[in-house]
Amino acid sequence: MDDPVLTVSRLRVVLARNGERHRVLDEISFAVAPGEILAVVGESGAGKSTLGAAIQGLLPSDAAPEVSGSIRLTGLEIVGSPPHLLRSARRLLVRAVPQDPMGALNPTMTIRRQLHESADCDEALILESLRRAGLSDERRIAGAHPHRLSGGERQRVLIAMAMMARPKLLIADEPTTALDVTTQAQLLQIVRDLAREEQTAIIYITHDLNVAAAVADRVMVLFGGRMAEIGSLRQVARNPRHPYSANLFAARYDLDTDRSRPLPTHRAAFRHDETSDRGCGYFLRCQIARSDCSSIRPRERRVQAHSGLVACHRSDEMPLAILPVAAPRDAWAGEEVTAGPVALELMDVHKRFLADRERVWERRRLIPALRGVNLSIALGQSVAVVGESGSGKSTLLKIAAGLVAADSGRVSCLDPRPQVIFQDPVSALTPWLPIGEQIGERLRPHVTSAAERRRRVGETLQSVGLDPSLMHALPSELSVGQCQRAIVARAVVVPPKLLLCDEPISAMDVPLAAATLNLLNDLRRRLGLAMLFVTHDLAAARIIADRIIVLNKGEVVEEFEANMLQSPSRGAVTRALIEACPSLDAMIAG
Amino acid sequence: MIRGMNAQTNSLARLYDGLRLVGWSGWVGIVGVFLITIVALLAPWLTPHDPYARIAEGYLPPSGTHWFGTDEVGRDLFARVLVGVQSTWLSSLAVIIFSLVLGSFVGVVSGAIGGKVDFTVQRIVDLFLVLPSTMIALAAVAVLGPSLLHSIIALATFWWPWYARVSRDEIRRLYARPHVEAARAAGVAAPRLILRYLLPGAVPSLIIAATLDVSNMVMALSVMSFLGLGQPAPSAELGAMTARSLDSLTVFWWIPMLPAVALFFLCLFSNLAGDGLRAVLKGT
Repeated sequence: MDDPVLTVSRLRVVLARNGERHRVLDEISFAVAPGEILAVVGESGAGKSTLGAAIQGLLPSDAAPEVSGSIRLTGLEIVGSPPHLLRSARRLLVRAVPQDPMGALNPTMTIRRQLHESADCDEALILESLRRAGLSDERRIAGAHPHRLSGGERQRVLIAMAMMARPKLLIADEPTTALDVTTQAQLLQIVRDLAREEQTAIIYITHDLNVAAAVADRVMVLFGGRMAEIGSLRQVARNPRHPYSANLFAARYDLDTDRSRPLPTHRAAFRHDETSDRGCGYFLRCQIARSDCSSIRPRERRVQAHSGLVACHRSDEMPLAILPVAAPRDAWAGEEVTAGPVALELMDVHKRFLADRERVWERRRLIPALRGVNLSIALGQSVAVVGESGSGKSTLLKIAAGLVAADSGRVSCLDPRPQVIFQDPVSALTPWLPIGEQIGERLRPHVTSAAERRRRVGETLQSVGLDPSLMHALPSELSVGQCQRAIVARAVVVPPKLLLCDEPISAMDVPLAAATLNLLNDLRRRLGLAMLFVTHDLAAARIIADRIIVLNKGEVVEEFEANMLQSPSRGAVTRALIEACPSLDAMIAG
Repeated sequence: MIRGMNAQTNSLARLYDGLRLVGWSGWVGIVGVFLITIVALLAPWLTPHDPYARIAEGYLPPSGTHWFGTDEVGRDLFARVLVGVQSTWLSSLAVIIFSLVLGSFVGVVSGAIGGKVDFTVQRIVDLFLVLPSTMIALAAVAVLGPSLLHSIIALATFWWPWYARVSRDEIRRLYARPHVEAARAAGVAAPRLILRYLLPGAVPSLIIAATLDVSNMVMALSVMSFLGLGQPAPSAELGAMTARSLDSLTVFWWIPMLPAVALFFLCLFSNLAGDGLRAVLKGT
């Protein structure tokens, strides 16, 4: 093996949040070799993004970071170096691709000028690197301002910008989370090529194990700011030796997951307490913990099962088979109703939007978003709408919700007020009102007594898996997962006939997404709701829906039973979507 | 069953978290504003001498018996400054509070109704905002006759549209947020939507705008009295006191300077307090 590009040893980062100091990273040690891709996985809050920022020396200064340990980048020590050294290290050695490409591009400068500023090079090189980042019309892109580009194009521009500097190390922090599967697949290919051709070392931060599988050679599992396991991705995925990574790998779902029963979930949000300081951070949730796990902190050590390191006292003694991976319970309770009355019907629905002006005096063109869509959902049925971004999925949902009027066609809905579950659960709750009050709003016309409303809200909270006492809590006191459950509670406190979900899981980590899918699946079976689920995630669509509708450029190109997703008779658009889905299982098998 | 991660955090702890953000300058301002208000309210009982009576020789410099010295007639300057602080400070607060209440009522209703009503109301507000309000207030007072009450009325008439604009913009901004959309989708009735879902979101911006505006109002009122449009001659007003004795600035500096210094501290403390409150309410 060549000399590593990056060597991190005993890295410890303490950040201040709301006046309290938290140890966000605790004794992290690893190395990355040239041309290697290391995936960093873990749940939200595990410290993944902080690791990326620490390596660049870009920890937020208002969090008063205290860094100890060592980060050596091609022999240059980052921890404690003066600002000018950090600056040149960032310019020459390490580049980053962030999650939100719009925030990372200057809206007032053309792409050409920004690339020029970033790497100080001539026109030919700018165009060539844009082309290599998979942008075929590089001249238009170079001359454009960021807001003229699509999300995928912006992300590729950032990759081009990072590549042009020929950095030794690239840090990609969830770069594909906001993109649809087809664009994601192309970007992952570009990242792989970059590592192979330029021998760039890449740290790929993601919450999606399937994406990690598609791109990485090695994987590092973080839990609560500590490294749980590191090793070759294939070996770790086949044979995880840390109970947390075992659970994490078991909780994923993909195109082959059994959809007749709830998904296995094991959400282990890390909470700081005394035991986690002294002993193993996973002690409280671990199924195989021993008494000494609470008092002695496990050090990383070699295991027989694979060539990596595991921080668990029992890593060698447990055969994986006895590890009780949060076993799926029984199949779904309740009968599936599929022949009820029609809850939502769209007939030949058209919708066009005004395009932005290219020039000031130009007449605004109309862009078709939906072109003659027919759709019908019976009570108790669940239909998923999938497609690339720009296929008209969100417009379809807004028309069904009555938020947008269709240009032509007939929309009939059994429920005058269908309920919508939005993508971002936190922003969909009013920050200054207790969640109980917000959930109770829909009860007001039906239930006049406040005590009775409280009782009903409590019951509903319980039915979505929240403690009824949380009705007095403000949204800021809840975790993201709890907020999502509160929003589901608001939607079903008076059971609607039709529930509309707009990408409710696309920004969630896997265990949380699985829990949300289970909750929605359970509720619609128990309450007999009709559900329209808009997503770009085929695996989720297959699990949540009875029927899948594929949209492409505003038209329904295919409609089939969810079980038949992988049947060979699927059309080209669907097959392209399936092929673009990264899959961990395929990687393990292959 | 999932428990709240920190649902036990009570409102007291939240308040404490907020107060830490005030910063030392903010505290100086808040304590200063508090003291000024107390002094202004108690001014008639705090004055050591009658502010309108001749109690010593004229032009006495500051000393132990006459802290701020005496003016050209021999009245105690400290007593006169206290009374001046009272009239300037309390009338500024009155104008600001009146403008805040009227302006935010107009703004919130206009923003929440939207459509044609909003458009019409906002054009009327525009009309007020494009007028040079202090100039017109000056002209109005000149016509009505100089008096403190006339100044207050004239300024209040032209001050509220600014608050109408601030609150209306806040309401429109909140209106487009997903949580208000969700509340509307849940069928919340309009009055409840305004009071519970929209107004609380606009309150921080309004309070910040108002506290930072107090010093503007203090200045506007002082300018009026400086130009002779406040209360008539014997009364003690900070602007007028400075104006009347300005020609003795180089010889008897304390007579024009000390009222001006008092004015300076009124503005300074209210600005510092406004900055401190902004830190708490916006969390930065």
